[in-house]
Amino acid sequence: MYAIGLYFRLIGACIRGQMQYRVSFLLETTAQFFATFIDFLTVYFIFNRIPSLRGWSLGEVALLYGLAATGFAIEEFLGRGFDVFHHKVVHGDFDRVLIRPWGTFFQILADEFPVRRLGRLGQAVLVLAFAIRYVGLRWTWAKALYLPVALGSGCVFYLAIIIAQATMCFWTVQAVEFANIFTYGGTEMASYPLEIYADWFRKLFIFVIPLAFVSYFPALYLLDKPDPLGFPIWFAFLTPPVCFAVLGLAVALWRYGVRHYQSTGS
Amino acid sequence: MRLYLEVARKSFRRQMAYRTANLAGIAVNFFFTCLRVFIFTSVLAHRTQVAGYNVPQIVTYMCLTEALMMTAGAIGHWELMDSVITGQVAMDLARPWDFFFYWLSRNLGRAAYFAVFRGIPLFLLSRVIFQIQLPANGLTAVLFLVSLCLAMLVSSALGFLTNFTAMWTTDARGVASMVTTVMWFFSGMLLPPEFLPHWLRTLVWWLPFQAQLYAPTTIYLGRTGELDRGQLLALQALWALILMGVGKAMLAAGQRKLTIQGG
Repeated sequence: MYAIGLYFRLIGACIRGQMQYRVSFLLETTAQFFATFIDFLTVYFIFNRIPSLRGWSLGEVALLYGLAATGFAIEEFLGRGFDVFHHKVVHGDFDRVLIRPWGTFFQILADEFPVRRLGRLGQAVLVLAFAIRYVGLRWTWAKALYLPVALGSGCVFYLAIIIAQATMCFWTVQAVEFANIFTYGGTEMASYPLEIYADWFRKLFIFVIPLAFVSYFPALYLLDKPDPLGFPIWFAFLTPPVCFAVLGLAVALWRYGVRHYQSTGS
Repeated sequence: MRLYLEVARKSFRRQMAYRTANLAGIAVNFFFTCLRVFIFTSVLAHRTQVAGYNVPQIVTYMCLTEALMMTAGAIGHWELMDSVITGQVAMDLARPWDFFFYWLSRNLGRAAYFAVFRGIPLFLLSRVIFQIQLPANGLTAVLFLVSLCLAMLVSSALGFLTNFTAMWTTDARGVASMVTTVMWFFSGMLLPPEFLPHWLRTLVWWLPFQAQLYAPTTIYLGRTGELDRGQLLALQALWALILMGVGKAMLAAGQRKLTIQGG
């Protein structure tokens, strides 16, 4: 319980710090909003030219987009400390983290909270809301409960990716841009129906980096759409266990990495 | 002139130190290539043409724009901005060279590095995996290379302009991320401008960004859209001149209001 209180105190200090530069904050938040907005415009203009993409309408693709982008946007608040973790390793600042009487994982998690990402989250939620209205989703109690769980699981999944990326720094010291494939690339991948991809590409994102559980399977369930690829509808309910399993793996990797940390000595 | 060539060469060689980063970059760019090829081939599934593109053309378009992105479609390099923050800019301004052409050469050197070590590997990978088209004839290939050089010039000048706003704002990142967003949309990086509705397409010709990726790619493909290749090249050259003029003017204005941070 004390940890939760401490987390909010640290985050609060971080937010107050960012509010010192109000104009810059507003500009960056707006920039974030428009950057992701243009992303979605691309999808919109494609659908301006064609009525449907392999049987998926604009609203349905927007639902995929909204699910993936919202999960990622929430993660960006929580996991920023891991995203910029390489600075700590390069400058030897991780030594300081190690001598404090709290776990390393907790400290990095509470290290950063980029408020300007509100712009991105706002855009993602707007697209999600638009999609839900546009496709005329038939709500049930189960679906109403399922949606927040799916979004939370998506966030957990991206958090795992970012932690794995940060862990690499223990060995490489420098930032590994490679993980961008699964964060930014992954979000774009998850914004389109899985059927449009080649078979190896699909399998990669179902079984190896299970991003399909962040948007594709949840969307099928919410839309009552039978899977053209033949996966059963209950695959949607595997989303939370799959995402938390990936997080568990990432945390284990992190622990292993911390034990192998060698300071740069600077 | 020899000085600036030397500056460009140094910049090229400096970039060569980041070998692992470049390999990771190739992987990321190639992933996005696959993604965009899959998306746009399925847009064209069961259709012979969308927005004037057939399947081989759209595949080549996607592969080429992604391969050229770091060469002609990237402005987020912070060396100039960092030199404003550290105050190094005062020393560089005092040196007996033209400050604008110094940074232009540095940006061009980096762009040339990315053409060779990012563009060519990505091109070859795309050729093997997606069987992209080759230029129809020798003339097309030559005109494509000319267009690519102009694109590098436009992109390097834009890089200077966005970074140099640091003279007024100290942190140019906000401006740069705004410009990058708009640039990606209007340069044809995210989707070919032919997909846009008419009113937006008009805007494309009034902005410099089409000179970065759309023009060289269209010339490579040998397509004639609203403009033929002669007009595309002329427009690129015009934009290069305009942006260089703006750069010089901005430099003059910046020198008058120079604030050195720290000491």
